[in-house]
Amino acid sequence: MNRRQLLQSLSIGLTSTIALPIWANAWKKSELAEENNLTQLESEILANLVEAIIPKTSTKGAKELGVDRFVSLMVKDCYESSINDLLKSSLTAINELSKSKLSKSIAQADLKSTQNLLLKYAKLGKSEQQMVEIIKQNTILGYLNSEYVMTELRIYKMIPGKYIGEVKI
Amino acid sequence: MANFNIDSKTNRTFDAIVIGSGISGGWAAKELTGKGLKTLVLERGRDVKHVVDYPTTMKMPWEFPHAMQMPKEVIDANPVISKCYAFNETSAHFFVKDAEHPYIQEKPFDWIRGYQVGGKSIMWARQTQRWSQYDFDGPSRDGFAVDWPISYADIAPWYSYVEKFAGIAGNKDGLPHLPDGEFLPPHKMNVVEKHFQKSVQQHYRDRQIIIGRAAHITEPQPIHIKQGRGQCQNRTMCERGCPFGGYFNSNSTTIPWAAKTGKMTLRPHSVVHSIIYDDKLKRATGVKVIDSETKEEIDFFAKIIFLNAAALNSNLILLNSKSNRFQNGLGNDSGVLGKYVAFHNYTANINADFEGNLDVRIEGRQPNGPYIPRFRNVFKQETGFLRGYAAGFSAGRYGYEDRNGIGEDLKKSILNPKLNDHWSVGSHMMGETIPKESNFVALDSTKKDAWGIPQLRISVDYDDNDRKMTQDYFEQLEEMFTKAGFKNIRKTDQHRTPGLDIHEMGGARMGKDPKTSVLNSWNQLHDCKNVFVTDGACMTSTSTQNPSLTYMALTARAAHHAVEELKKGNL
Repeated sequence: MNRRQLLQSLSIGLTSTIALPIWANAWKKSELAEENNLTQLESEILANLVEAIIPKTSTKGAKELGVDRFVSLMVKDCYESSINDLLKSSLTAINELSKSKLSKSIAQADLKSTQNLLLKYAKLGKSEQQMVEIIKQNTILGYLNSEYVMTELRIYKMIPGKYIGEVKI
Repeated sequence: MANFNIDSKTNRTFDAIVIGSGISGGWAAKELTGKGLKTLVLERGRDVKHVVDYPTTMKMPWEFPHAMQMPKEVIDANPVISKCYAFNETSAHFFVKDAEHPYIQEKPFDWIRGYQVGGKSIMWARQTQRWSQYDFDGPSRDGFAVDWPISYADIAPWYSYVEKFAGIAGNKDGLPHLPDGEFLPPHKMNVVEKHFQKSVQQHYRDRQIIIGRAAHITEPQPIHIKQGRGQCQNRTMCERGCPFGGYFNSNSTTIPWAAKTGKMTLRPHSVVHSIIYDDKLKRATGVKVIDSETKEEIDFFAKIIFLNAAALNSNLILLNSKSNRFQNGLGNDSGVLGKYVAFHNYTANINADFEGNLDVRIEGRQPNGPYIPRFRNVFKQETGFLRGYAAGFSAGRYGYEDRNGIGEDLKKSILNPKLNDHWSVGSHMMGETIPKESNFVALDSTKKDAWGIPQLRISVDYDDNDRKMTQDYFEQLEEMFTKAGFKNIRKTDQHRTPGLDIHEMGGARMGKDPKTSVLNSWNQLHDCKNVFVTDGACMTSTSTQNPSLTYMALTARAAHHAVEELKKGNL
């Protein structure tokens, strides 16, 4: 039956036959890594920070899941441009703090040291605290919203097929 | 062999033209083609074919780059449309871009539009309730508008007709002021919603909590299988368009049905400039279209015209349809066209917590919830304000994660959310507003849109009746909540702009007297009987019900009358 075939093809990601409005394409483009607003170094720092927030344990951590790309995309697209500037300067500042306190860059620091550094950085002032909070909340969002977490850990039901209004716990 | 290069008038002549393919236009298309009329359906937006053109409907959450939030750039560029609850990364492509469709707010008004085949029937909330005679009696009893020229008895068989085809889930509640319909099995309330229902039953005589009535297929009937639609799967992603056809929209139901007859010509990218009136023949003869892509002007011709462009759009088209006979807009001898626009007062919310039923949670999702039918001034006028409000109600048991700190503990905590130690309950108000001459739409005298059509000036506002009614809603719901043991009651007046209800109506109201109304009891223009207006523009009063079901029923009824009149040679 045609409809079933259509549904199957849709589930393998067949794109639609119509041209979406330009704005719809514009944000699809930024799915690609090329559109990253951070430098290579900044991305690396952020990757270490998201890993510090949600580290690898017996399950994957935020770095492996590429949550840093999600965080940088959200900051670029969903916040004031001043926040995006603040992100870039914060990442640099955190890396500098690492060099001065730990005598090594964030990329070389171990997990515990990175975590301590991040918390220390957040205490430096109001805008530092705000930036760390933004990074943290978007890390959590990107992590929980990831395919890995939604299919293996906190299982997401796309098609519940039902509603039961009283389930004994 | 026909020469396809000649643009002959014959190719542009039909039995009927339907302007608009949304929730009411789709019905006009279905009914007219079903009766054998060669029908041109004009849609200003692009085509959206069922399933194939729902680009996000099968996307998993992680496939949305911004986790379903809209980029700031889009929100800033679209201050009006981004207010709509259904506008997000999964559905934004079905809404208009503010900058492309400007209008003038003489008073603040959020005009929410979806311009594509299917219109707003793709994103609508699917709530469907019948009007009762008490609703139709409103104007005549309370004197706030002209009398409706129809009664519940006139429309009841048409409610049945459209309900069966569309698929409406609901419970037979036996309420005189909210008539039962042709229902599929109802959605079910959860344990706390049932608790609230029971509490209201115990403490009040004049009001009830019922399960909402909604355009979802809870049990497919043969007609739905024939339509190619299946059972709703509770995804609650309706505004993306549904791959199962689980809810009613034009794209899944009426448009394909019309197409099957072979009598429909669907022409997207067709902005309607005006309805053409022939002064000599004393009838409308067709429609002037501006192709939205090429800006080419093309005239189409038909014996009957159904205007279903959406409430304010239909007003705009009529106002812009000028001729020697109708210098102020087609059918506007009365001067009433564009006036007596009203909407639904959605400004009030009330939320609370409930500490009972903590041994229970919910599984799955539901695209519907409980409904509180209007209980104020139903059988007689008895409060300090006119008319009344219906309300939605819902209860949910939400989870939370302890988000303190960072690292392994945080990770563990967010992977294992805990259930709240309370249920969250909430209600929102849906108040009837009084149509007034001072609430109107009109054409701007100089500003035009990208297709050379005058921009619409919208001058619509709340009044004292709305404010008093809102106050009453807060008082009554607070009392009902308190009696049900709900705690921590928070009342919120959102100071919502009119329009965001997306239930704007009127401007071309039905009435008995051509001097004070635009349409007769069959939705025909009093003074141009081969033009029918059956979308929100026709509404003489708003009552409290979600209006789409009534638009569908009025459309089916008017379409059948149109065909009868054609057969008799009256049109």
